[in-house]
Amino acid sequence: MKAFYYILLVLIFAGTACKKKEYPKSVSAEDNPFYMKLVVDGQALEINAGKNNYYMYSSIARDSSKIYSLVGEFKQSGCSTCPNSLRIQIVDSKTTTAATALDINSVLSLRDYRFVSGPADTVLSKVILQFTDTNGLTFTSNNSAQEASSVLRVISIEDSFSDVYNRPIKKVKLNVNCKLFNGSQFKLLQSAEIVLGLVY
Amino acid sequence: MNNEEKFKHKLKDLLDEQDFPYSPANWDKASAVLDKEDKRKRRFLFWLFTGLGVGLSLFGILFYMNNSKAATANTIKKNTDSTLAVADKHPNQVMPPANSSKDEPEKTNPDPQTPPSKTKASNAGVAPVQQPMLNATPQPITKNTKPETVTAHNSGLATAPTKMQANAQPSNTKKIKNNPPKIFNENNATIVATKTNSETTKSTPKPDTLLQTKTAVPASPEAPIATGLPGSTPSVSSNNQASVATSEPENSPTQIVVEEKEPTPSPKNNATLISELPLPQTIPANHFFYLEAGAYYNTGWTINSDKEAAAVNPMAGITYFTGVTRRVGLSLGAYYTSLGQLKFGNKKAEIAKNGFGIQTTEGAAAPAYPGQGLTLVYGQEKEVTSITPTSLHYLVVPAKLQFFISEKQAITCGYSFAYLLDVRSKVETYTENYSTRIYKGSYTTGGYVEGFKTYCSQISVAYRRRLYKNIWVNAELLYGLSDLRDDTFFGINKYERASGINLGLTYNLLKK
Repeated sequence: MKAFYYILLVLIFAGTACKKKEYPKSVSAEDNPFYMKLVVDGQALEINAGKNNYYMYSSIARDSSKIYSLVGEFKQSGCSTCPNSLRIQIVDSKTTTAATALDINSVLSLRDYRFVSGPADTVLSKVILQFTDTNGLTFTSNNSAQEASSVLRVISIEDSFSDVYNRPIKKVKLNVNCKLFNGSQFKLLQSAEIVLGLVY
Repeated sequence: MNNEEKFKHKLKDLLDEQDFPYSPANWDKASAVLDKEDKRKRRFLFWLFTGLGVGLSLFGILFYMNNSKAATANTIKKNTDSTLAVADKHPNQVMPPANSSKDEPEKTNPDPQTPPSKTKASNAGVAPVQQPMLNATPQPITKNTKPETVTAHNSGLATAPTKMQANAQPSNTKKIKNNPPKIFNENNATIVATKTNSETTKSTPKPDTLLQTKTAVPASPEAPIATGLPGSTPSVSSNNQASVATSEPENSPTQIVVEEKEPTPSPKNNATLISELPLPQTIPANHFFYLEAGAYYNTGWTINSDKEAAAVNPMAGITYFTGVTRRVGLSLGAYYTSLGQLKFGNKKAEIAKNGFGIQTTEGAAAPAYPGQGLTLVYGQEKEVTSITPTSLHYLVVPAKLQFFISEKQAITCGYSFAYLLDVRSKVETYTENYSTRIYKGSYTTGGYVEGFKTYCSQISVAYRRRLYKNIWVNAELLYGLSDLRDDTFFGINKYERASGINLGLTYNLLKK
């Protein structure tokens, strides 16, 4: 009889000795300085670098004519044809030699980039927007079907710096209204507000 | 006519002369005693089934344990039911208390002048007989070889309204011991105590002495039994005998003494006793514990075409058993078991922070311009804690009804109540960013019980078989009645039942 009580007590202690734990809570990063707010064919789309596995990528490119361009991109990591991604390429307006470094003031300034033929600094090829929709179809602004109202406006430019990259960064705020084509169909990009960091 | 026949005639004459007036008060007493016994039996059954219902809790065990003595008393009462029935049918008959196989030589009071207080009857606290037995009809003496006993009923039943006819009645009262000698006649007309003796009485009663003869129990229920009662048939028995003490009518009233003796082991009589057991006791004992250990195979369930929780798990515990009848018993236990091989239900906790990183293009030669082959990346870097439950650990309290097919086989059915003790989980930690995942380590821990049901239940049927002495094997089928996981919490829409097969060995903790 006593043995039974002892066993019972042991079982009760064993049952209550297992301390309950709570699952750890997830903590999200609140600072999202780089983002894009788009309206594509009337559908709003907001993407933040640092949320939902979205990242902002920034790099410097130079073509075979030795013309520099700054490239900024919002997309998720680990994908090839990334849906709901946007790529912006701003091309330098002047041709440089191989030994010449990139002149950021030559590439980026507070001005409007027109998507229709016009003055040399507003030629269509100086700004290229490339958007991939949810179905993986890629649309681009580099075509002649743009209207006179199609424009990319640089609203603000701030200086910044990356310790990791150890290079200066320009934090640029843009507004965009244009048409995007894929050869057979187009998408209308309206009132797009984009803040991205361009390294140089 | 030999001495024995003379004794028979003498005793018969004495018994025929005996007559007792009808006493309604005695009938009322007898009825009250029988009603009381019936109420006690009903009360026992009430607590028994209440205990089974509430017995899913530990309180049930403790309550039942505390009443184990009462249960034992009820067992004795049940065994005396047949005796009571005899008394009911034959109110004249006094049922002497329990059996005794002790060899006891016939004792005869050598001194007829010895006062009754110095005889066995007086030692047993009985009073001398005040009235001679008149009109007693002598009956043939039956020589008995059966170890049957007759239980005395302490109710003054002997004050019978008519001539007392002691009919032989088979009895199962093997367990009754040490009942005090019973006063047969409240008017002190006849005093009866029980006496069992395994030795055949050969002595011849002497008319001038206080005689002691032995009660004979017939071999068959139809055979008459001599209990030393007025109207009964005095007989000589080799096993179970009542001593009848008489004296000359002119000196003292007739005295019939049935004395109880402690059983004395006797190979001859033990063999007889065993052979004469009415039915074997199929349950191992009325109250005992047994240890149980084995393996529980859970059949598991399928989620997204993947089998989960199909595994063999250990189980061990202790069970309390109590017999309800000779074949039926109840058990209430507590044992530990687990459910392993869990795969789903992963929960992740992410601690994120945003920052810059560098992505390089592999294979690039010396950069032709500053920044070639390098990409600045801004976004989230996460410290991830991934928790995946792997096993559930339970304290199970099974309540079972056990039916013994034979001494070696039993089938059970029951309901098990399980309390979740703990959940063991595999915890992995790593750092993840836009391109890499760096593992920091993994370990197993307990305590993450959130999302699992604290209580669940099963029903079961089982077959038990005795292997060796107190060792039994148990094969049990269990069917789960509860969903083990909170579907909302884990995002898994599945009813997970703990069903399977339990194979184990049990060891009865019986006192030797």
